[in-house]
Amino acid sequence: MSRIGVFVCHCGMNIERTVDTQAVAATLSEHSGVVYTTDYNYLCADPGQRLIKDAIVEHKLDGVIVAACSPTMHEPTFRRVAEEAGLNPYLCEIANIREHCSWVHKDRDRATQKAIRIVKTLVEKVRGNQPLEPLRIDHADKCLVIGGGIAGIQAALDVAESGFEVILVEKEPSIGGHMAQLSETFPTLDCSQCILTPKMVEVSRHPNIRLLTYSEVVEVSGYIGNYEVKIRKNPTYVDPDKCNLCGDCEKVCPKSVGSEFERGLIDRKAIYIPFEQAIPSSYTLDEEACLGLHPLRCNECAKVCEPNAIDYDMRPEYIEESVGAIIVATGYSLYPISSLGEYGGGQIPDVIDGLQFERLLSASGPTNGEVRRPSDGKIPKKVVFIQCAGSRDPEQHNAYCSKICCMYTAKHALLYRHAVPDGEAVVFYIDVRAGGKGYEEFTQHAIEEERILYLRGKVSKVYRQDDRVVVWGVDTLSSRRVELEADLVVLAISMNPHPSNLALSKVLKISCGAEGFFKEAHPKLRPVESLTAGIFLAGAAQGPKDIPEVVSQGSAAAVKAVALLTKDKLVHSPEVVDIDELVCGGCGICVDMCPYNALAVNGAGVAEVNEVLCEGCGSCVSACPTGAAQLKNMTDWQFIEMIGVALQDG
Amino acid sequence: MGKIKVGIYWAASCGGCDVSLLEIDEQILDVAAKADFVFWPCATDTKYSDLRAYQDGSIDVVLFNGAIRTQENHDLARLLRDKAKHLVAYGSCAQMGGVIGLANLSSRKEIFTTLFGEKSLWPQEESNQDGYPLHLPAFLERVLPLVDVVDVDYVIPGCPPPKEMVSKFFEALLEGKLPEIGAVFAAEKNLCDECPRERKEERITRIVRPHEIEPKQDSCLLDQGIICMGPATRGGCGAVCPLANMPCTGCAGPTANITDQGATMLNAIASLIGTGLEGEEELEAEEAILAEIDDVIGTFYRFSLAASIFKGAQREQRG
Ligand SMILES: Cc1cc2nc3c(=O)[nH]c(=O)nc-3n(C[C@H](O)[C@H](O)[C@H](O)COP(=O)(O)OP(=O)(O)OC[C@H]3O[C@@H](n4cnc5c(N)ncnc54)[C@H](O)[C@@H]3O)c2cc1C
Ligand code: SF4
Ligand code: SF4
Ligand code: SF4
Ligand code: SF4
Ligand code: SF4
Repeated sequence: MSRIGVFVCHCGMNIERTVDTQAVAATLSEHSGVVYTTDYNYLCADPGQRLIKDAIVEHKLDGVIVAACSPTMHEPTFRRVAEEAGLNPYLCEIANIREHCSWVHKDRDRATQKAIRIVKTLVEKVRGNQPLEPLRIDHADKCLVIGGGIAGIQAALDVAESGFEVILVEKEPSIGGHMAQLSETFPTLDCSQCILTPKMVEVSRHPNIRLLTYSEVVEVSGYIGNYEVKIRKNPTYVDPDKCNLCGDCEKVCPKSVGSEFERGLIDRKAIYIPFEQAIPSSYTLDEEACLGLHPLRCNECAKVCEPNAIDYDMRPEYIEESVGAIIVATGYSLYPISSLGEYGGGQIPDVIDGLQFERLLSASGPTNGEVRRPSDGKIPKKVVFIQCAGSRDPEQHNAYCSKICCMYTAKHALLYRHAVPDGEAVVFYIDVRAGGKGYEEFTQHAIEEERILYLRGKVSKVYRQDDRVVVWGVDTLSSRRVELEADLVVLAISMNPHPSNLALSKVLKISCGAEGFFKEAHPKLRPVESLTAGIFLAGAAQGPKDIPEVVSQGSAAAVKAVALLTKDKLVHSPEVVDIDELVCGGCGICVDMCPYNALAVNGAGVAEVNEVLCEGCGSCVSACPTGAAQLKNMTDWQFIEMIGVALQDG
Repeated sequence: MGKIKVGIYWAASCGGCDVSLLEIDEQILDVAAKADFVFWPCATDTKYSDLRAYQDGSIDVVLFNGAIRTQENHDLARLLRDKAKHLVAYGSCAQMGGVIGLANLSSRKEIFTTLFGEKSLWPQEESNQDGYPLHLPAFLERVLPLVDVVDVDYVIPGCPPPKEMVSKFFEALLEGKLPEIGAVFAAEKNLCDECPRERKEERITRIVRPHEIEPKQDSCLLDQGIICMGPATRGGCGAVCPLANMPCTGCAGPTANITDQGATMLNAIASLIGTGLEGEEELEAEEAILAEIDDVIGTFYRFSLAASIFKGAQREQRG
């Protein structure tokens, strides 16, 4: 390449303040192979782009360097400009003299010298570049949604409505997730099930949705647009088409265990339906709880089931599907209450978590909406709510804020006051985080109109005395120690990632942050994408959030998936690894290095790369002991030239 | 047509390369029939003056073995380059400095002090012996591969070059079919290509030396924790070492795409080790595995230290 153009951007004062862009352009004009250089105020602006385009045509440039900001910002812009001027876009490279230079230095002379070196290295790189064509690939047109909480439901409905087939996989016997357990929802106090169940029904009826409950995704291979997934449908031992919901089985079943849906407040039988509006509307036999799964040990339920819906011989079913996109919406769990020993969690029956309180408030709950405490069924006359239980406590518990508990505590206190008008509600808080439309008004309303006592301070200890629960704390505003005797203590427990996240992250090869929530590609600009192309995130699986946020994310992830599925072909960067077949001896060292499983040694004893899977990370290149594996347009030889000019004197 | 004129020279070498020429068995008769050995200090008595008398480019091919350790080696390399039509780097030392190149871990001063003690050396380069001036060739600061001193036309690698490669060369020479300048008389691919042992593409979880285990016959030595240089080494020898339960030590040098054989193999090993733990624990586990490597330079750079990017110690220059 011998006709290279170098365009140096001022980025307003962002670069110009510390880098003498004119000097950079002037020095580069002396560099071998460079025939045209200039500097300009904003190259990314329309006139700047035009300037590059005109120069490419006029000076017959065969390589272009834009010395500007990070390539993550404008590489696509300038490559498009090059393409519009008739130059192969992969012959255009970005020299980052902003993030890597002007922003991190003060001394103008030395920063200018450094910028010159940076640009020179890119000139050397572009000299070794080959024109490349992007890879175009076919894709499957179905979408897999994992998790049937409100996030997954919303995403599934939106994708299905756009005309694409959805496979919705839910681990539990019913969809609905945590929202199905809630009583009323802040800040508007809609009945949670009333607004949720129509959506659940829509899911079950939608012609484009294939619902697989009691199922788990066990294997995923492939890549964006072409994921092969294997789903295990666990046996429910009840044929949903035959089950008529008479409930006769449940009545005769001799085995009881704590109900998950009612959070252990009451028991359910080994054969059960989680809640009345469950979707699919059918009983499930819990094989762990069941006494027998064998007629000789116990077959009470089968005996009474009139439509013969119970089948002890049901086996797990494996379903394989090809999907183009995956949405992960596996939600959250609560920090185990037993981890909060200092608050009597798991030891004192009248210390409960927020979801248990939701069930006590819920009209469909075990007490039909009457607030009665677990120990003796009495109506509590004094309830203490403790916020940040397990949150914002980096020493002992989770460091992060769970974001929703301030709001649901205000809701709990308010609903409690509605249910027990002569009851007294006290809230311990560190501070009240009520950001959101109508949220501050909602808490203020609770505090003022419902006369709820908010005490600012931490609770140090909770213990049982006779049939009461004693709470020790401090009121930091009046600097007083506080000792309260309560009938019931409700812990606003920290939101935890769903326990299946870690295993699922390995199956999907997406990453979790340190706390265990799935990690988004960019916290601001790509909040619903994982770092693996074609896998999107929605809802509390990505971090604590409330229903409005979860639903927005569900829809956002759906749009991302639909945008992918509507494409005729998917485009993949051609800057992938290339194996020199003459040199590769098939040692296979590269194979296990590839985080994307793009490599395999073929029958001829040579490593073969699946270009569509290759993300160009270079891991294999650095491991390959023969130099056979080279990244296109970033070969070792290009690197050596680049290092050479970077270290050159002067 | 007259006979092909062949010269053979040994610089800093062990002598093995000269002997290896005889390994081509009866082919040596063909060679003797068609070629004259005009200069071969190991076998014939020839003086430097005889050599100087040759016209430039008049010796058809010179096989040069050994590294450049002394000024004499250096001068002879220059002289032979002039006289030879084709100069061949014969063996690992000429190609990469070889085992001799490991001396670059020490400076010249350190070598002399270790060998001869602190006292000043005698005789020096120039001295007087019984009234006669004595000139000794200077001991260079560092070992250089032949290719660093003069242009080389072909390489026959190996320590010493294995029979297959040598006979391939003579075949080409006698038939007048020498390949393009720059050719290496070995395989383009790495040794794993011809090694019958099977690699499972597994992570290395421990590192052992060959005597510490009884290696399984068919499975790759690397998979068994023995550092085998095969992946970073050209094939062509028939994988004789792995076949004899010994790891490849890398004598054939790297493939054409690689500049630093040792660093490349270190990279590969660093990539390959792993235990499947996470975070800090994994780092510690990996460090523990790496710590089991007994002699890093001797393992990874046994033949290529003098040709490596860092070339060896520079303590003296650094002061
Ligand atoms: C006490 C309490 C009160 C609340 N009150 C309110 C309120 O009033 N207003 C409000 O806006 N928000 C409230 N919230 C928050 C609300 O519960 C969440 O925002 C919402 O339920 C999150 O929905 P989701 O779909 O992301 O997750 P989830 O509801 O947790 O659903 C996730 C689903 O994925 C399934 N799943 C998990 N792992 C897998 C797997 N590996 N494979 C298949 N399926 C899987 C789960 O079984 C579950 O059905 C409250 C939360 C709590 C704890
Ligand atoms: S949302 Fe409120 S109660 Fe929950 S952790 Fe954050 S500050 Fe504490
Ligand atoms: S590591 Fe290099 S030589 Fe070995 S199989 Fe992979 S590409 Fe081939
Ligand atoms: S460059 Fe990265 S993604 Fe591509 S094949 Fe190599 S290791 Fe895999
Ligand atoms: S034993 Fe050595 S040469 Fe043979 S396959 Fe394994 S690494 Fe390669
Ligand atoms: S196996 Fe390796 S060390 Fe042994 S002869 Fe071959 S190249 Fe040399």
